[in-house]
Amino acid sequence: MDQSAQLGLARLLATLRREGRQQSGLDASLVPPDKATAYRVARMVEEELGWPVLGWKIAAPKEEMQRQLRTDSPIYGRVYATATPPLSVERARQCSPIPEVEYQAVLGIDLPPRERPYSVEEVGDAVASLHPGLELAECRFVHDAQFPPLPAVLADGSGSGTILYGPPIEDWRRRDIAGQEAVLLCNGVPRRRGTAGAALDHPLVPLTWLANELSRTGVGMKAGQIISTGTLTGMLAPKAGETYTADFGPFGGVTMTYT
Amino acid sequence: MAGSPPTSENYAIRYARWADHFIGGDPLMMRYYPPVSATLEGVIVRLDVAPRSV
Repeated sequence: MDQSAQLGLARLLATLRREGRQQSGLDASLVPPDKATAYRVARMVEEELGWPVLGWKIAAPKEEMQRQLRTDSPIYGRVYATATPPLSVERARQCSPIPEVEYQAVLGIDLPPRERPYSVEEVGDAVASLHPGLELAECRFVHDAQFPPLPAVLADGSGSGTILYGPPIEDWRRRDIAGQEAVLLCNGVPRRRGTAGAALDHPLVPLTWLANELSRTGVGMKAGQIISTGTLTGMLAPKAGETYTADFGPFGGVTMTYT
Repeated sequence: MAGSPPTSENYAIRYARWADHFIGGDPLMMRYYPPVSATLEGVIVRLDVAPRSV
C-alpha cells in the first residue's frame, strides 16, 4: 500500500468522522495490508482532522477471537471526543454505536516515547484519577456483508467514539478496583455484569501495555488524556429511546440516553 | 494476586490473564470486529510474547 493510498484512506476516514457518517465496505486498494500500516494511517487521520487527541481506547479479544481476527495483540485507537453525564445523543446520528462499561484513567503526566519500557508502577503513578464510565464506540463502516478487514477498523481508531466519564473514584489505589462488580443497565434493567478482575485483570494491565506500545511506536501519551481501558461487561446494540447506565456500585457510575 | 494492583514482578502473568479473559464470544463483538481476510494470514496468537522485562 503506497503512500498515496494511505493518504487516500486517511482522508476518507477523516471525512467520514468529521461528517459523522458511515460507508458500506472499502475498496480493496485502500485496505491496509498489516497492523503497522493501519496504525500509520490512524496517525494520518489525526493530522487530517487537526483535532486534539483527548484520549485512547483499548480493546483486546480473547485468544480464540484473536486467532479468528489473525491478530496477536490487543488493539487501540485515538479518541477525539469526551463527555460527562448526563449525556443525550441522537441514535440516528451515531455510527453503529455500542456503549461499553469501562474504567477510564486520566494521566497526570506525559508518558513520552523512550528506550526503556515503562513499568506498571510508573504507569500507575502517572494516573491522576480513575473514573467509572462508558466508552461509546462507533464505526465508520456499516456493519453489513461488505464490512472491511480488521486493519481498516484499526485505521479508523479501532472503532473509537466518545468517552463518557463520571466523577473520579476516591482514593482509587486503595480500593478493590478489580473486584468491584460493574453492571450495564438498559432502561433500568440489568443486562450485563462483569468485573475488571474477570475481564481484564486490572485496568493498570492494559494501560501499561498501551503506554509501552505508544512509546515503542514513537507516539507517547500526554498529561490530561483519558484512556478507556476495555469493556468489563460485553456489548449491547442500543436503540433510540433507550437509557444506559454503567453502575459501579460505591465507585459511582454514568448514565446516557439515545434519543 | 488476583484483585491486587499488578506489579513489575507479576506483570507478564497479569498481562497474559488480560489477553485471555477479554469478552470473547460475544456475537456483537464478532460483528464489530469480524474475521479479517487472508491479508494477515500467517500472523498467529502469541501470548508468550507478553512483555517480561517490564
